[in-house]
Amino acid sequence: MSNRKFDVVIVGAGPAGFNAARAIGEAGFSVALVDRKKDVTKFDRSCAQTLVSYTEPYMKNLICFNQKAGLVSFLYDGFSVKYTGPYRNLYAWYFYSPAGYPVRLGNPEKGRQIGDAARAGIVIDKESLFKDFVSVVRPLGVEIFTGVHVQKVTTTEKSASVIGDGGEIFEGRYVIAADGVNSRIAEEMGWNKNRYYWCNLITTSYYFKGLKGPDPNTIVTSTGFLKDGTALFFMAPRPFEDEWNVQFLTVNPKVSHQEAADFFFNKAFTASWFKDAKQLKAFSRTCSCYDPIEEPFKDNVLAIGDAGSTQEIENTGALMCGWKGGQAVAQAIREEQLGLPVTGISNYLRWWKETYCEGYSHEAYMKNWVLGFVLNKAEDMSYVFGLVKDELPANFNPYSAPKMMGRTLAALGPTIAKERPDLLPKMGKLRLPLKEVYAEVTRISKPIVD
Amino acid sequence: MSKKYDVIIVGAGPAGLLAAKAAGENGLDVALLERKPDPTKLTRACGQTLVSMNEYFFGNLCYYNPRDKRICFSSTGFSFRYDGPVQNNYNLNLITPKGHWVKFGDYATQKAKGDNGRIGLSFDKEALFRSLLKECKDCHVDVFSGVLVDRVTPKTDRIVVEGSGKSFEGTYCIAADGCNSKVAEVMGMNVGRYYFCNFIGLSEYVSGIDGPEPDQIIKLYAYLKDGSPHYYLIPLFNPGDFNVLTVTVDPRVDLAGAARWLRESSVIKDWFKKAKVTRRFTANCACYSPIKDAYKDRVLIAGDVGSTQELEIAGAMLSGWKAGQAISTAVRENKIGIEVNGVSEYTKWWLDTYINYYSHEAYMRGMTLPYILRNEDEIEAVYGLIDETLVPCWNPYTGSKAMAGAMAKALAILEKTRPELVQRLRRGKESHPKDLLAEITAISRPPGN
Repeated sequence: MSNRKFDVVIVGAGPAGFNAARAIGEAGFSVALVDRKKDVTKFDRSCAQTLVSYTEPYMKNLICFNQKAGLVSFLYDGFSVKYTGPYRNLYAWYFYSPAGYPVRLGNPEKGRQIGDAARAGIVIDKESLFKDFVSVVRPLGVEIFTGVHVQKVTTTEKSASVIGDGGEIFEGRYVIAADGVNSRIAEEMGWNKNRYYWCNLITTSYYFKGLKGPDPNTIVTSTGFLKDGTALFFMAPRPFEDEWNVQFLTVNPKVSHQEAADFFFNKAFTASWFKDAKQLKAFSRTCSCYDPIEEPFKDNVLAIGDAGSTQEIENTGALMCGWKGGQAVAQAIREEQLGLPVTGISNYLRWWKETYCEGYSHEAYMKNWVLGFVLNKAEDMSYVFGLVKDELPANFNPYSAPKMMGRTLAALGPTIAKERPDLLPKMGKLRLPLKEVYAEVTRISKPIVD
Repeated sequence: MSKKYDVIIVGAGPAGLLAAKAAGENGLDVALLERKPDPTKLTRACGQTLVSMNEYFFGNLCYYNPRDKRICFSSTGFSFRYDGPVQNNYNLNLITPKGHWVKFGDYATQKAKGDNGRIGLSFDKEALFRSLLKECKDCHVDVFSGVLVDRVTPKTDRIVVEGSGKSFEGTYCIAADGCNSKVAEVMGMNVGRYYFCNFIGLSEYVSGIDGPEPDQIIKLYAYLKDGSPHYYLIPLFNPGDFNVLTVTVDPRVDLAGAARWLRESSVIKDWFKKAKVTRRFTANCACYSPIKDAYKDRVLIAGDVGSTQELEIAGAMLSGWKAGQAISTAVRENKIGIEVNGVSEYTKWWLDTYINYYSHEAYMRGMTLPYILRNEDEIEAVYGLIDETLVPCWNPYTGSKAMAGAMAKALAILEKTRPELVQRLRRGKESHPKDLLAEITAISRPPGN
């Protein structure tokens, strides 16, 4: 049993943890970055691997990718993240009806003509991102400990320690929990007790080669109506030539992902795309959806990124939290050293509350998964989507894109009232408190802890 | 005319270099213009210290991370590499003409705290230039040296910047050409600023000084035949060497003579017995009231351009970096067709930070002492009464506040012995620095640059 001391111990070498390590390392403090994976540059989970929202501000930042220097810039906060790996521009998001008709957010042809200025986001390779991070944090003296699955947290007045499954102890003036959606540390700290629990988001992800049909710069989503409920189909191009990332997302634990895969690969309008495709890899992931932790700091432990807010933060938000959280902790330590009042942490908590708890609506995010409960028959959804003839502006923001969809569908009210009055009560469900819409799923779901 | 840049930055000092680095990292096409033929050379007198390392300054705790050789700004959250030599400064000592020490911080106490006890940090500005130029080149900034900008022409959709027979076209321009900014002048941004005087300085690198600790700062006032200079002995980045600055606002003072007086006739002359001057620089910087609106017709100002030299190097770095971010944001906002806030966010910050939060008047007041206490005896009579150790600081604003507190106690004693001095000090406190410096203003003229 070893006991190592650092200024800061960070649990989780994802986008948030890495960026926090870098911020604290650059400020000159010692950092232990502890991760349960054997190799932190490997990535083996379902994730769209996108950096979102280049056409409008996201979480109080304006994001742009400077491929010339290999940097992703967060303009309002004023930091950049090294990314030298492959990428692909995303110009459009198509919401396909079950019948195969797309509601179009953006236009990939036009986008390609304009180029980078028109991209709504990019897809990256997360393994490349992690490799870049390792190359940035290693020279800063950040010590990376792999294969350590943190099980416990203990705290004293002026420190916090995490204990790994092998009994290893890492002690820091502060601990940063960046251990993701099903954060063990958040659970151990008791932060989940007062959070509203919605459901789990269950994801299966496949990498494919050789798809015929879909546009290489467009995100595709659709809904599959299956025996026990609906599954969301989400497909993004990969940054590698002719590769695709295909995901099935469900919130209803009864829905079979096997059935979803069979449906979209062999039966739905997407089947032709997959006819000669080759499956490269498959992963899955289940993530507990809670309301955000309003005050993610206690006893020298700070939770950042998804550890405090489901997966709604996106990679982009996790990078911001990492940066801000790292800066905050570094500033707090510096203030302590100089004998000044400590403001670093409280500044972060204010920012977190304003950004993730008040500035953006968690409900809006949960709405992403709800359309299938409301328009709960394939032909109903196809009918409604079919009414949307106009191309909407390109958008790849998980908060405002569903809102835009919602507004567009709501505007169809008069037409639907005339043509299909039977659908109005269903559509009305969209205005119900979302927790009610989810109630049945919530009842049969149970949160998990990594 | 060849390439159109997103931004043309005039001046490769701390402000311009950080603006270029920020804009370059954000993917902008950046031209950085510098009038010196070799942008890595220092050609002007400068204290070469980061002030205020132990307290907030312009909203940041500036910190040097020796392990990774980075200068960090805590709240704004940026840092950059500086791999040159550094020297901690642990306290500031004001020495009266007759040799009484007023201490800002106790040297031994501060030094015992190590890096946490430093009040300032000396560094090598040439090494800083080298480090930052490298970072700029790494993010594809085009650096043009030997370009003295003397014409700036804003058009509806771009701006043309010309000088030394060259012409550059950009969407925006950042003026970072220092306290006597040509860009501010030709843009008419100096109109309406109050001109106080010039701040004239001679900097000498001196080795072999035997007296002060190698890591403490000395300040000294003098009253000479031709006027009143004051002096700073600031530890240089070379261990044991000092940067001896002779500064004044009085154009009648012969700086070289004043520097000689310090070495040969002052109360600390013995320190210089074996001293040798190895380098010499001068500077002459116009002191105006600050520019309130930091943006005009595609030109955004950063650093001393808009605010005399009161920003110090840390302030120049901060505003340069912020200006680079602001223009990056504006360019991006323009490109994606959303409301452009980048520039207005910066001008708001500029106003909050430099104009509203810190007082330019207080800064200029720091230069008025010789025009209130008019000879050695008078300054001795007042400062000689201050025996307490004042708060450790190397921050012009905190320093003058601490001094005011200490003076209040001295005044209570002086009330009985030298009532005329007390009256004059009170009147001085109530007068605007404009009036106190009026006689100097009358005989000064801003340098043509």
